[in-house]
Order: sequence, then C-alpha cells, then structure tokens
Amino acid sequence: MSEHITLPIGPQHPLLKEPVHFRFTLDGERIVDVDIRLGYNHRGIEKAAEERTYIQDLYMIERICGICSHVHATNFVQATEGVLKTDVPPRALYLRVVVGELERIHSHLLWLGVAGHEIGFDTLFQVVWRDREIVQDLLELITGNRVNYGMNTIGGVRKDLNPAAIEETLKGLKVLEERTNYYAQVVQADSTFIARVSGVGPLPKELAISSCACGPTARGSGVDYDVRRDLPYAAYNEISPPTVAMCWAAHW
Amino acid sequence: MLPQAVLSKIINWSRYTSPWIIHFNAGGCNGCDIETLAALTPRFDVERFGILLKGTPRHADVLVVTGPSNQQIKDRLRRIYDQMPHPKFVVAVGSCAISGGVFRGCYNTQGGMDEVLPVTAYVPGCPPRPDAIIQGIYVLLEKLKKGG
Amino acid sequence: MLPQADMNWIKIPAETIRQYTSDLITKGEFRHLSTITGYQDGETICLLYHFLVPQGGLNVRVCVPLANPVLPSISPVLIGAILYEREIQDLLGVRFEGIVDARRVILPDHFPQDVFPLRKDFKKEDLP
Ligand code: SF4
Repeated sequence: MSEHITLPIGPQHPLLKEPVHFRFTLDGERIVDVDIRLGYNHRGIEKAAEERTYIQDLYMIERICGICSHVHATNFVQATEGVLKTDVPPRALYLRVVVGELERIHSHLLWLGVAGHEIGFDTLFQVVWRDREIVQDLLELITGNRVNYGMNTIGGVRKDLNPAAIEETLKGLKVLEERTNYYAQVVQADSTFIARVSGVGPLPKELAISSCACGPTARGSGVDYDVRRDLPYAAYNEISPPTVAMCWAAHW
Repeated sequence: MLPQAVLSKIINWSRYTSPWIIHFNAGGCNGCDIETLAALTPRFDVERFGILLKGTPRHADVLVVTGPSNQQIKDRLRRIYDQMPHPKFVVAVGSCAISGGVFRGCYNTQGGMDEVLPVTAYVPGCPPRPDAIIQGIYVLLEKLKKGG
Repeated sequence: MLPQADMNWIKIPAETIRQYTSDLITKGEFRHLSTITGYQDGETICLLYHFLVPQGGLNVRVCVPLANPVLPSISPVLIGAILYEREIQDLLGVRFEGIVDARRVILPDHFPQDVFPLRKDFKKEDLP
C-alpha cells in the first residue's frame, strides 16, 4: 500500500503571493488530493455589498482584486445599469474598453515577470516590470491612478481622454509593442526557459473545458474562447480584438 | 575587542544600511502587494537603500505587511513576527493595514494591523505609490539611524 | 452595449439541473460555465447558472425552499462547477447532493458550521 504524504503550503510561502492555504496529499510525486482554504483572504465583500449604497459598493468591488480591478468594477456597473435600464454614452463604453485593454497589458506583463521570477529567471522579471511601468504611466495619465483606477461609475466613466493623452498613449503603446515582441521571442528561443516550462502541468483541451477554464488559460489549451468576442460587453461588439495565446505546457 | 559603544554603533550602522524585508499579504486586494513588488523593480529600485526581499521571516528585519488582517490570519501573522530575529520592525502598507480601509466592517476583517502587531511606520494610500512605500521604509531607516 | 442584451433567461425545476447540464454537454452545446450566482429571495433560495452556449449567454434559474435547500450537484457531470457549488454551500447553506467534494473552501476555519453569511437573517454581531 502506498503511503500518502500531506504537504501544507501557505498562507506564507516564498512562491505564493496570496494568503491562501493548500493542503496537498501526495502519493510519491503525484498529487492525489488538494484541500483549499481561502479563509485567510475571505473578507465578506458579498455581505458588505448588501449593506452599502451602490456608489460605495463600486469602490469596494473594485478592490476585490488589485490586479484586475477595472474588470470587477465594469461588471458591477454593467449589472447596475442593466437593472436601471440606463443608456451609457458610446464614448464612455469605448473608454471602458481602453482602460480594460491597458489593464490586460499590465496584467499580462505582471504575470510574465512573475513567471520569470518563479522559475529563477529574475532578469526577465526585472526587465518586464521595468517596461510594465510604461503601461502603468499610461493608466495613471488616463485615470489618475496606477492600480485601482476609479474610472467607472454607474452610467459612464469619470474621466475623459484629451488629444494630448491619446498621443502619449499611442506613443507608449508603440514602445510596449516592440518590447513585448522581443520578450515573446526570448521566451520562445531561450533553451533554459523552454526546458523549465515545456510539458509542465499540461491542461488537455477536454479538461480545460470541463473545468471551466477561461481566458488565456483556456486558449493556451486550444479552446477557442474569448469573452470579448463570444459575449461582448462595452464596445467590444463594434471592435474585434485579435485573440492570441500560446502555452509551452500544451505544446508537448 | 572593541568597546561596547563602538560595537553597537557598527551593528546599528549595518542595520540601517542593509535592512532585509519580508512581505506578507494579510487579506488585502493585492493592489498594495504589486506596488510593493514594483518598488523592487528598476524604475523605483528600493535596493539602492540596501533593502533586499527575503522569503523567510528568519532572515528579515522588517515586516512589510498589507491588508486588513482577519481572525484566521492573525495567528499566522503573529507567528511570522515571532520568527523574525530581534530587533524587528513592522511597516503597514495601505489603508487596509492602517484602519481596515474599504473593508472596515466586513464580517471577516479587523480594523487594521495594529490590533495584531506593533507597527513602526504607516504608509497611507489605497494603494500607496511605490515611491510612497519607499518613503515609508526610508522614514523607518531614519528612525533607526537616530535611535542608534 | 450591455452583455445582458444577448442573453437568454430560463427557469427550470431544481431537480432537473444535473440532467439539463449533461444534456447540454452531450448535445455539444456547452461551451463554458462562468459561475453560479446564489441569492435568497424571501423564503426561497435561487441559483443562477451562467452558461455560454453557441447562441450566446444562457442563464438558468432554479429555486429551492429556504427550509430545505437541497438540489442535485452538477459536479459529477461538470467538474469545474465544484468550486462554485462549494462557495454557495459555504455562504448560503445550500446542500448539493452527490457533490464530488463538499469540504469548506471559502469561510475561515473558526466560522460556525451552521451560520451562512449571505442569508438575510445573518448578523455579524452574532458571530462569536
Ligand atoms: S489598501 Fe487598498 S490597494 Fe491596498 S490592499 Fe487594501 S484595498 Fe487593496
């Protein structure tokens, strides 16, 4: 009979940025079970939202997660607007898209950097985060904030874009595009990087679908799914953003 | 053997020229945590003050802690603090860590870090900019310098 | 536009939800389950299953009585639903029959077993 080992990880662990607790049960190197405890991070936002006003809720819901804050706020205002049957000016919808896309860029760069850090490729972490500051600057320029932007409000957005800011943004994006292409090249060519990640934790397509994976995770497994195209919100019904994702694990 | 006064001067000098930090998220939204990480990266580069991020509390002098803390994480936080060698300091980053911030009054949060740990410096903001976090640590270093 | 614009809303009896989900899957219409929303409405608890099907969003509502909130789990046919169901089980006290893994996930360890924070009669002052 095989012996099972229990391996607790978290809430404080050098590789874990969030205060969560995983209790893995291992059979040799194989994980046979995991018990997840989120109580270290659970705040009770759901209940608090019932007690506060809509506008107070907006700022709290934006702080569900500091990395994807705009998405949460957008969801909340859209739900509220749906209930109120309010029309939102098209310009505001486009501004939501602009901030949403910039947020995606910052989030992807953040994770690329963290991924580099976790596999011991700290140079990648430092250079990617250096360039991530470009998009942080743009977000600050447009919304006034670097992290929780406070851009959305019920019925529209709180700030407009002026021509100077548009020009700045386009300039910044050009630099970012160049750099990102370069990093994409690096991670596809660097043999240590490939050796470290290829074939690690592959998520087959069927499992990705049945475990309700979404976004880049799903696309990395070959699932053709993008919420911006399949269930468009804000102004995404008028623009079709190109969808890309790749994943080393799935390639082998 | 050096006289005690000189020795403690040297110890204190090494303390404020190279403080090692450990970073812990006690239930915040992650906003403060990414800004703390950003402070370590080239644009802000907190390493110029000799500050290094460490993975274990046993190597750290300063605990940089974010988030409102809650009933469950309280004991862990205490344990991490207890594992740090003396002398040790706590920098509370963000409105959450100061007063509970936007989550004050939620059923599983507390009213700030100082209900659990002795805090030396507070950095306000939701989240504070990396420059503000650096200033918070700098204020702490100044304190150490004087306190020598 | 609001995403609600191209969504369908239907209501089905609670006991049929597992069959409904597995039918969606066998017919090849199932693409994604975003989440399950739960809320208390007076003396009932309603759950909303947010599916994505080829035609767009499909929101399936089922309701169970507050006094006996039990319904079949869909996790045996769709493993990804398990975290959603466990969350609802923690926060609203709904029991999912046949759930693959019923351990507590979201609430802190010290939280009383029979208190469900998203029910309307919950008061944080009552917590120990
Ligand atoms: S202070 Fe604000 S940004 Fe920082 S963890 Fe709390 S909610 Fe997030």
